[in-house]
Amino acid sequence: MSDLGAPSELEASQRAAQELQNRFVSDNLRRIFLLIYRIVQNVADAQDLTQEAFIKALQRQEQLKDAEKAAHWLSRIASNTAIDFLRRSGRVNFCEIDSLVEPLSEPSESPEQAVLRSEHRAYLEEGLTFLTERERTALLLRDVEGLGADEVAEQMNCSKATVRSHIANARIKFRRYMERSRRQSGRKK
Amino acid sequence: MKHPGEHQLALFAGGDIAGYWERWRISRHVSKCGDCQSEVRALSEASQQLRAIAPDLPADLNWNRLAEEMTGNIRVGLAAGEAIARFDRPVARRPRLGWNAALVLTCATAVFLVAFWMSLPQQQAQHLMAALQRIRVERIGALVKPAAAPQDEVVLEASSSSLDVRENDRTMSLTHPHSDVVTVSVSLHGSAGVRYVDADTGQVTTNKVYYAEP
Amino acid sequence: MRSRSIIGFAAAAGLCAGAANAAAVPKIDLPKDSPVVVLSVDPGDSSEAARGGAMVIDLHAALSLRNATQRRIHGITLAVTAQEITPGGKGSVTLTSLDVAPGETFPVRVDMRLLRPLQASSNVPVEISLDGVLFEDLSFYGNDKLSSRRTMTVSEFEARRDRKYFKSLVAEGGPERLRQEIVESMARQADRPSLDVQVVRGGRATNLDPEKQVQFAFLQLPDSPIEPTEGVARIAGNEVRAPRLEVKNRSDRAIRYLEMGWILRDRSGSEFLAGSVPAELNLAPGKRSPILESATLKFPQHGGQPLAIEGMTGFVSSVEFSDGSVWIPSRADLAAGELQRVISPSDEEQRLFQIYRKRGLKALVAELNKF
Repeated sequence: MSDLGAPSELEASQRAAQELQNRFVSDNLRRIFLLIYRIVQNVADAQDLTQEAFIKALQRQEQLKDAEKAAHWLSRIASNTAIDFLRRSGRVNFCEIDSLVEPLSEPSESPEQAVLRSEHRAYLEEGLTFLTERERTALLLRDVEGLGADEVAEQMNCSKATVRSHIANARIKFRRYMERSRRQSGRKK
Repeated sequence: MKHPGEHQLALFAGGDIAGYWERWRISRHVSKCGDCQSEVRALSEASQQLRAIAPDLPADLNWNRLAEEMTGNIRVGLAAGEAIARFDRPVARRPRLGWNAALVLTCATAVFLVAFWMSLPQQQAQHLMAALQRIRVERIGALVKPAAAPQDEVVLEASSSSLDVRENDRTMSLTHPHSDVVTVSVSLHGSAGVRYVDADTGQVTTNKVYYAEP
Repeated sequence: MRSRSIIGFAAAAGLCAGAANAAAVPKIDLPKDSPVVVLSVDPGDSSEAARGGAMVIDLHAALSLRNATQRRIHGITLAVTAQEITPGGKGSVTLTSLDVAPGETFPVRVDMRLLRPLQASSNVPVEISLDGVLFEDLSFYGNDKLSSRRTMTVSEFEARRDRKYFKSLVAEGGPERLRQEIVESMARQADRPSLDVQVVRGGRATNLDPEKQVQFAFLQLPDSPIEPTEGVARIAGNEVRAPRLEVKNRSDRAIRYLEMGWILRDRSGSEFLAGSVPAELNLAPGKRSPILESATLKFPQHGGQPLAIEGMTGFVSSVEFSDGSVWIPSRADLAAGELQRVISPSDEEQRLFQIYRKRGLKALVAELNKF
């Protein structure tokens, strides 16, 4: 029986666990939200999926002890959650390869015009919309999250060859998008 | 000078070329070719710019409010999960292979593969090696758009008498039933098809063969 | 997750196979909620033999399927996989222009030759799985990995278009008018030049003829939601390389897929349908998009002579909107653009020709009146 004036060991342990959880959420929330948002391209869905990813992760308290490993593991859960969502919604078959089609027309602004960081971000994000969902997912996991191609393949449940095709297509399209923007700004001058 | 394909350069720019020799070969070429160097540089730059904006939020988003909402929902979700868990019965786990058994199986497989390999005639071993190097596991039906193959090319040929698959100097004929009403078609995404009408039933059938990445 | 029931006809069928090798007897894998059930598999004289470094599987199987739903089936696509490693390891069988009533049985023949690497186990059977079933209300069941939904929906739209057209001919000028049209169409088909065509992916150009860049002409189809605006390809002798097209969405709906037919003209002025350029895209109303392909088409020969390509014409052969609906050229488009001379009749038209050939005009009219 605990002394009324001091917390019991159990209460202290519960409080510590709670603090660990809170810190885990506050340290990773923005990063995970952005990762998911860039995959699903929709704020509302990204919010739901972010919550889902954290709930899944926090149900395994033992994984949270090493902060770095926990962050990495959480990223995996997050991208899996986003990928499953796209799969479930029937929007994409991750193992189909897209043609190297330039999807949409001229970009709305050029890199030279995007002076402010916010404009630059919007300009680059527009480039991401030109990719198909599978290409964008593969590119974000590989080039932004820094996962190896093998790990990306595992997360997307495709072969390494397919994922490499997605990554290559995505890089090519993104690069072409930026080149088109430059050319367009050159023509406008 | 034979340039690497654009897919290869795109993979090379991110350090994603799979084979050692291919990586070496491309690296050697890029070091000497101005055009390919520019291309690789442009690709890397694009990826760098993408990484740079990774921490930026979407426009017009009230992050503080959203973060608060998500944090609150996460807590509620966890509490709900705990409440449900109290009523869950434990689920019987599927039996997994123990570590020792897995090790034995792996060694046995390795021994078998070596013995199998050594027993092959040389020509078959070469074919096998080439095939192993090309092995990719794909889900059925994935129309694979390959990275530009350095030497090998695969050809699908559709004619009124057959569908052929050619790989280097080998041709395999994929026949279709004899019919006087045959239409052939090819798609640039790597499939060839033959449509025929069954003389007895009048049923229209289209057979297609797909290109799979070597 | 949907559980699967694997119907292991292999062993039983193998006992009855006679000449069939056990490995060439297909294994059919259908989900539990599949709209069709397999009643029997007869492997026939399917066989497997090593040839030139690969295993060649000669399939000549006859399947008997039953419609297990309350809806009529108008199309079915089965995926057939020997191996996914080497080219030629997987194929598909699509039946269109079907009209299978609930509970009705129908046959499917799988006649194809597939390849697998030599080192693959010879006891692994060929797998047949269901890619999709299209019902009369255009609803679809299946995993659609081979995009069979789109293919069969286009075929269904063509079938409806053509039946409507033929019925209108009967309404205008009686059965004789229909006969005239059928005969003309069959004559066009007989006159249509056939062309051997190769599609090459990977590798670089092998033809050393001088290369020239040629602009596409386009057939303008007024109702088409897609307007091709420009196109070029590189031509060297009998090779056409890397076509690049630009298209514009002139409809008010987003488009997710389109297919461009590609007609070649040789020096003598003869025209041939070379192939199709499919493109998956996300094209908003009013927007333009380039379509780039790195494949090469080669035409080994025509009439014993190598084909010398002089010009190219593109046309929009089908469009899929983001909501899943489909556009195809009308009969008027086909006639006005003289596409009928070059492209083959639809699956349904082909089926109706066969009815006319085998059973005559009365049977054809009766068939049209069923719809």
